[in-house]
Amino acid sequence: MTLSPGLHAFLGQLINGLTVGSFYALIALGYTMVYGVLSMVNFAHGDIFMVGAYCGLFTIGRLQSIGYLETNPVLAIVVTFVVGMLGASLTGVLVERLAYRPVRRAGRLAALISAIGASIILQESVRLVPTIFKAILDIKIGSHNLFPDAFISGLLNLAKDFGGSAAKTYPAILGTGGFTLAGVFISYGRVLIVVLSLIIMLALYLLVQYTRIGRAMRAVSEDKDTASLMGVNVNRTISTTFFIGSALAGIAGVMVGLFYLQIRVDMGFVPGIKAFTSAVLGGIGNIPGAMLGGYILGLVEVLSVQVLPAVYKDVVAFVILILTLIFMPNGLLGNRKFLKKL
Amino acid sequence: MKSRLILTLFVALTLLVSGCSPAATAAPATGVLPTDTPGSTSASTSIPADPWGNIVIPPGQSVKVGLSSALAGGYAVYGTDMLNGVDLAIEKFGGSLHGWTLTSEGQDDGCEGAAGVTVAEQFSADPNILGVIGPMCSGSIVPAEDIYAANHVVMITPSGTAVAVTAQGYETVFRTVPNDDLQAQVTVDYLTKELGLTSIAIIDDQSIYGEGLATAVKQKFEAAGGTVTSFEGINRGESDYSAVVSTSMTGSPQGVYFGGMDAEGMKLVVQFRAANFSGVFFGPDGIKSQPSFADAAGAAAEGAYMTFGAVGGAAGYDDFLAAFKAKFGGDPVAYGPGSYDATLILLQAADRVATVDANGNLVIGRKALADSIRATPFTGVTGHLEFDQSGDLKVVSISVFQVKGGIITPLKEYNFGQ
Repeated sequence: MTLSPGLHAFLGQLINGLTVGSFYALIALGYTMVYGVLSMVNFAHGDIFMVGAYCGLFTIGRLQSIGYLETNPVLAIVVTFVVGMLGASLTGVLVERLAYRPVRRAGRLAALISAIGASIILQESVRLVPTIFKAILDIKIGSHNLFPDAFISGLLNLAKDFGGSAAKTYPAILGTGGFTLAGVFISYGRVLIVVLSLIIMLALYLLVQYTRIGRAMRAVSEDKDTASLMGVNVNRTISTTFFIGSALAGIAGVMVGLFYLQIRVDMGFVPGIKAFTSAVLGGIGNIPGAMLGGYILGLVEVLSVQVLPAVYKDVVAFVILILTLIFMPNGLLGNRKFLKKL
Repeated sequence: MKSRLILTLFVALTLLVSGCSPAATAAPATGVLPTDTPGSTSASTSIPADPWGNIVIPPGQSVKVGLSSALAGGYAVYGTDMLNGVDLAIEKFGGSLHGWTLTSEGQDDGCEGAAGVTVAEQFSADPNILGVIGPMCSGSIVPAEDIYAANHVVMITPSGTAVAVTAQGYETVFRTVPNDDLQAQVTVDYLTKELGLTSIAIIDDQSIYGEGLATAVKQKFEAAGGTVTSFEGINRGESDYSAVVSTSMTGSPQGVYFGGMDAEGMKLVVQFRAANFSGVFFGPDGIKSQPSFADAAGAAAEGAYMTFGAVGGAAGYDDFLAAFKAKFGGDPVAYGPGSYDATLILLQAADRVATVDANGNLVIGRKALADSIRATPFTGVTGHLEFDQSGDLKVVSISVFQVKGGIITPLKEYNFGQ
């Protein structure tokens, strides 16, 4: 089958856009879910995504060093995903407990500033892990180290693998294999990302629509006070929302590591803003809206490269954010309730 | 209403665009301290006055070698390698200069212009700084060298390859690497004559370094009769370059040239191979890194080519390599040997011109130091290094490397200026 070069390029970019869109959608879900229950923008969400990527790297690095990655790659990747997800989830719950709950009644601005503070603390904590470890291990009693040398070097190695200011790389295990469909080459890595993202999003949708906890989340998002009068444990529901939203970001973080290989402590910033744009575009507070917004933003951004110089990609994304905020502040699928809260 | 909307958009876009181009935000050279000239006020009369003033270090203080490079973020593999080179050189020199303790001070400039300027101001204001190794990237050097020159601080970059680095005519600027005009020439020569390519796509990272190289390669490749199918820029630090990979492949080029650094080069080669591109991938010295390019990209990097101002072969390189491995537990990446040589050039020149005044201070004339560096040929582990008036090397060689079996391996050496 032969396609005209223009259509061929368009289809290729479509696949690229779906991949990028999957990342945006997964991260955007966390923004939108938190906005749903707390009516606040969790600006630390991009950094929770980063923590997920680092937890994944730590896991896959350990599995590689004991040779398990070579002997059983599929299970190793699954374990990596689970650890990345849990790491991000626990971080998210902790951030909510320490940074947002104390200021929940203090107004929007306090929560926003607290979120920015949490973002900085997360980034700098991951950056400083090796330094802090070294400082602790250097503690001396008299002229002797507090900890035995072997223990120190072992722990320092672990810490080195976890954080630090230099960029880190995942092992390149996804490879570059793939198949050709209608003249367009699609790598297995892309298939993994898009399919996995869609499955996770479907699962999330079902969870929110058809389970008890999902119903509680929707109730809290509708009206916190009434929900609590109806017997919903509001604090637990908010924690659960953070847990699930952060888990999605953690999965996205591990996927970025596996697919793009390089991760950095400041990697959460730009995707965080892009995902926030997606959430706003789809209607912040609306779960299908965040998915839709993510894919639309990914596709528009990638397709813009066909007509504009590639460096204007970010400009296109943020023009979309501005236009949405000016002309359609409640987004594509957003409802009036959130407009009122804005 | 409409005009207000347009204004809002315009302001937002301006903010975005200016935020995206670090080169445009280089701080002006304000707030720089004046050159310290205590030599003229001190009681001593035996110390000759230096037209640029003296570096005066009281007894008991340390003499510092500054290093401006990327010590954090995506390019830290290169910057850390440079710091290792500086430290090893100080150790090799004996750790002291006329009895004053030598130390290194590495500052992170992130391979960016604005941060490079900040580091330059910091080093220039520090009375204990003897001279500076770096900055690592041309994008930092070009704005920072104004400040070093205004304060008469000698800087020797082992890695800044852009033509612009030595084009401003400063007497304080030196580099131990060939410039990018030669690097582009070698690249095009290899692409057309050895690999027989007639069409390439070019991508650059919009930095002074990457864009300069990409433009030079484009001109020379077209002058050699080749076709450049596309010429695109990317933003540094992003993860996904698949869109630009697809547009670059639209013209079915036989090869891709990337002007930029390891972090983006690694992601590009992976994403080109993941898009089933089987042509040549060619890059500059910025991607010649075993850990952060060849190892990081894994199988995707196999067969990729890169140019680099040649290292090795020189007498003493094997001893250097053994000492480097023993101290840091691994091979040098790229500019470790160059930083080692640059540091020794600085220290040996300081050793030649340093005197001790009547108060027991170590005194080094700033102009005397720069002149001594320029006047004295040096043979180091990267070869014979002799500077011309502009601070460029008189004799240089550039080699083409290829990733073979996962290892960056030299293929062919080109010599210039003999």
